[in-house]
Amino acid sequence: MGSTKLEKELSNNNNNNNHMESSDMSDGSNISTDYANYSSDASSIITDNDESNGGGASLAKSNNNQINSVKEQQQPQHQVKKRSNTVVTGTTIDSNFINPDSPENKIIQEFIDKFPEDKFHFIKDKICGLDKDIIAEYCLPPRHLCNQRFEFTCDELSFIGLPMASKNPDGTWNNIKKNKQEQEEEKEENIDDDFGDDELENESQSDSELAEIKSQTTKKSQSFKAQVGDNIFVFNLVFILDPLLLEYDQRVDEMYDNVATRFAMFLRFFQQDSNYLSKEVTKILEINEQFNNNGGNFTVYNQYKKLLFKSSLCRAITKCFHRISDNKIANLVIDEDKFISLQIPIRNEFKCLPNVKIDHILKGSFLTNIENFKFLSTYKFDKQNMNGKIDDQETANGGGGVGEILNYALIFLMDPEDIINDLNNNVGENDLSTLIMTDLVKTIKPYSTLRSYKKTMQNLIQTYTNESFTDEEFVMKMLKSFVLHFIYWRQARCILPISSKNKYIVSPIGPMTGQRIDDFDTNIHYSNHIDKLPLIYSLQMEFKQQFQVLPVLSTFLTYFNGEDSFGLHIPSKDHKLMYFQGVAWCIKKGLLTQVVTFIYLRVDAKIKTSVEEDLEKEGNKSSDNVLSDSIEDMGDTESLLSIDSFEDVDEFTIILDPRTSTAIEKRWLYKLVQNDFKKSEQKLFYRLLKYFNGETSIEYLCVKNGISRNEINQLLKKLGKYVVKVKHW
Amino acid sequence: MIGDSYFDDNSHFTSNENIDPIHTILYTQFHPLEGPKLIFEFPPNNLKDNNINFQDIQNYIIPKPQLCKKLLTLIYKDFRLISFPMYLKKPYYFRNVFCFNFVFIFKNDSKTVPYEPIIEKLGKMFQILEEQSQILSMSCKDMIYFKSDEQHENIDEITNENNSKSLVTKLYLDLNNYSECLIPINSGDSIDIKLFTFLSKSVKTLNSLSLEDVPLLKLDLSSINMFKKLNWDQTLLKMLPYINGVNNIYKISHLANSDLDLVVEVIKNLVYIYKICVIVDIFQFDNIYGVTNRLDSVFLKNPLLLTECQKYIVVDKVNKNSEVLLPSKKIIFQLYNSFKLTIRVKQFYKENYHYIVKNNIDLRKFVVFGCSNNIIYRVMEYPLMRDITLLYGSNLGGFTDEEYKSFDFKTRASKLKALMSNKNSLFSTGDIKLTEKEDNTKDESTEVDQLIAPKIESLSSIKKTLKKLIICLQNVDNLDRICVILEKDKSYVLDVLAEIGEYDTVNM
Repeated sequence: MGSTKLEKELSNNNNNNNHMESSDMSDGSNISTDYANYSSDASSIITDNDESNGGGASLAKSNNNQINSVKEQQQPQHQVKKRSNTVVTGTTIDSNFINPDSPENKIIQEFIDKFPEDKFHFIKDKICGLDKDIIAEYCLPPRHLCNQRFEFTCDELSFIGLPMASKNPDGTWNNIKKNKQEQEEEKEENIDDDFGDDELENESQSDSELAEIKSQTTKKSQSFKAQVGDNIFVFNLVFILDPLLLEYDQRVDEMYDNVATRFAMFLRFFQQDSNYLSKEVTKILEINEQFNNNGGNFTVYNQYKKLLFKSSLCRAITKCFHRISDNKIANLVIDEDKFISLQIPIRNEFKCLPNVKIDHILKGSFLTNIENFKFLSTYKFDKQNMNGKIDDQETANGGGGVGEILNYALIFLMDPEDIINDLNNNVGENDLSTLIMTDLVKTIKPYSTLRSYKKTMQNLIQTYTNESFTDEEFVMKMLKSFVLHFIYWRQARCILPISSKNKYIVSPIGPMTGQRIDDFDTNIHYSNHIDKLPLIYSLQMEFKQQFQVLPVLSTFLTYFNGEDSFGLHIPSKDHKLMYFQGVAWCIKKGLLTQVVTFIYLRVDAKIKTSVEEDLEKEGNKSSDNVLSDSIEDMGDTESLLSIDSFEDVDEFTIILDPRTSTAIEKRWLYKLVQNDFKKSEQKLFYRLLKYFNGETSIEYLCVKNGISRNEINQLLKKLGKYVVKVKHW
Repeated sequence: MIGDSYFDDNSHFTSNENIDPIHTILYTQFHPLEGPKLIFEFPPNNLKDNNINFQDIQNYIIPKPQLCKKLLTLIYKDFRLISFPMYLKKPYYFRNVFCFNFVFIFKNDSKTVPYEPIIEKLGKMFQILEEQSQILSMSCKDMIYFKSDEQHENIDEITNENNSKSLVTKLYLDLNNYSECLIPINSGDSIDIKLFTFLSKSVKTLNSLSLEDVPLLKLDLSSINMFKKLNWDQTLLKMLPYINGVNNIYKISHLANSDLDLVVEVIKNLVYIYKICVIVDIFQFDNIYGVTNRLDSVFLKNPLLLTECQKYIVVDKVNKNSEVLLPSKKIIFQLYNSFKLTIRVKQFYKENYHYIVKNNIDLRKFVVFGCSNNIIYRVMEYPLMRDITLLYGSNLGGFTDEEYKSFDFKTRASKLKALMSNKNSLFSTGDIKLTEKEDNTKDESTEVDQLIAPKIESLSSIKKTLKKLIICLQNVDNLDRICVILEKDKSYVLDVLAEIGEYDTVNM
């Protein structure tokens, strides 16, 4: 595991956090909020194996027969709830000395809100009905199985995590020699790979020996004293999930990839860096012990509050639990100044039409070939890697789409006020960024590309800094980073600019039936009383309030059939803006999907013959070779539409991708425009040729290259039967 | 039988085709002195060959009592270990307990859901067998599992010392080869386990399937011989002949004379657990389809899929000897590409009649293939009321009694009745021609006649339909579903709709 790389990554995270931290406390995003099913029963425990503390259930991690202790910090569970009316007195130990606005208090307050004392009864030493000790024991795999995915399922409960073992055999985490880091890394990897053979046997033997000792040691577990210097050999931040069986793989993978691994690596880094975990664990143990000794006077509830107040680790875990189970973004702080931001990306963006009958996808998801998540993916974990071992290398082309992002328009998914609120609520936010972003939220409209806001950006920077920025690249980079911020925080999406020439359809995955976006029941079970309108009718109400000039939503939606430009339905110039706003609103609700056109070229026998004749005229051997070669090639891929037909004499061959076409195919393509085309048309043809492969829509081409649609349409018209148009999203 | 040819060429059913095989089966016990012990594995040496270290996994295989009698899964390296450890407490055992576990090992990426009920069942069965006759504890011929002072009379009865070994071997071979196993244990008991035997409870909570959905099997289950199916779920057996890609769920339950809910449960199992069933829509000439991005991004660029399509969509042979030429790939692509949201199938058929007939294309199969491969999608029509107070009352919380009364069902119904009888008389005089001219075969036209011209309904039945329709509308049902629920055809439904209030039909 490359610690240098990791360091970079983490510091990247920190940087990002400086201006990415925002909507933390908000309930704003209408996409993310109520999809509680997502991981609602996730909880996290951290178990760690702390050498020399003596006691607790244990699994041995090293050859010396020292007894290891295991502690866990667990989140209260929904499953744990039992009705209990016991009201405990003396609960306000914290309120006397905490600033109500402090981050500590916010988390404690949230904890109190979410788990009101009089409604939840916390059972000591149990997690989901299982003994803590047992869970701790089973969640600590042997050392040689650490640094790779851990997954254990017990009935419907699934325990996942990335157990981390200390780099050094003595339980210390820091790199021994910093200048030899590179070598260390190599070694490390090697060890990881062939750990299985030699060292394994020793270790596992001691394991089985210790199975016997365990039963004796658990009894002694009350008496020990934690010390800061104690070493942690292995720790595992475990997430407990109870996903639906059918969603099992997806949920578990998402949690592991996006949250568990990143959180664990984050902790490992600061354990290496500053022995953070050891310090925290010591604190936690001390507090736990206090409550053990004073048992009876204090409740588990108070213990939690104290833990949350004292330990940044506990706070981070708690916040992570709350945010992730609410499908929000968890912005975690440990040690006051170390940030990490975690989220499970919401799958609300599809390039391929999902099977809505069978796969449950959020209603109102976006059906588009403009994949916004790709803009964000700057690095990823390599899943193909053996045993799911993590690999934090940056993918070379990860941010591939970012350069293009400014060709798109930005549509805000939340109300501007909510986004601005989020921005302002931020702690530690760069002031200039906040100011500019606040203005951008008010200014940016989805009708023009982001590039066109260059002037706006320059003006804004000038207003706030009194300096004029001539460095355009810097300005655009800044804009880009703001746009990425908005997308990351699920506040906005990139779309093609809304124009009256665009064609839309009502999205086949739009919010129509059901009462919530995650309501997949085909029946609404109304009794006499109707508590919540179906999605489409709530939207219809909202639409009516916002756009009184426009027709009823149901009528408005009938305008979009994918064939007509939507401008046809705008009755007059005065209505234009209102109609644009209506369309924008429908797009952000996932009701409308833009239909775009993809172009392929095809050639017929006439062209082919003509090329053949040319070749004969040229008459040299080399071209003969070209011809025979390419015919063979065709047999494999390109000729798929030219075989088997028994009726067409003028058989067409579709050229699937001009960029990879064979020499003969290129000749065909050139032949298409050789005669009858003006120089300017030929020039445009060659410029666009590479895009005629089904990957880039002509709508995007126009925006990107600043070509007018007319110009392209004229060219296509002239190409006539040689053009195959495919229209979808 | 449709649906088999393109998913599965040799349409006989073997486990390998749709259910991932078991990698290894282990039988393990807790040995009073040695701890967790691997008694037998099959295939032999599979653990060692695959670098699975028993020491690593033993604690998860013979776990603490708290974790026994639970379905446990552990991901270990590239494998998925699934087991249902058992823990028996009886005074005659050494330490009063006996632990055993049959562990099934799969490749990590296997679909193991169909096995899970079997693994659980197996554990529970052997618990009973062990309680009855100590079949497992004695098979080792090692009295260490018992207290020394206990006398066991039936110790001689156990003739086969390799009981658990032969059992594991047979389990492995039979389940992997035949998806079933029937193993006699002793005179009275036998283990009888088959896939498809148990319906999984885990799909109970899913309610996304609807009456009008049409299931389509990817495998030809009907070709499996009856003997193998003996143990299958009864509802599944009853409905199997009617799952043909044409009948919707509602119709299947009628034809099979089975409870609708049960039918839905079985279909859900076929869809989600066994993954051998897809859902398509009802094929009608009034349907609208649109193309998806897969038309060119996958279909056009995948010769295999194109070939599959050619074979699937061709019309059935008139007689077995005649050869039917396959439709050309170019035409297929072109045809799919001419679906638009602005035209219905009948118009599509009209416009492309020449190509479809000349190329021996069966239009229905063509559409079904397109939909099930996500090349085209069915555009659903949702009737939406412009004034939603007509559905939910003026405060949108449901009709008050007063509102309900003032919603004059009677007047509306009698208006409808007048409309219907008017249409009927037009029909009899032949003023209305069939809308679907293409279907000019006698049979179909008479069928359409009956649909469009039902016998004159009583007022009360029209009133009932009105009430049902309002519930459908409150639920935002699409027209397909409404037609199935009301058991009426579309034009009738649209008439009734218009009587309720102004509406729009939104195509999505």
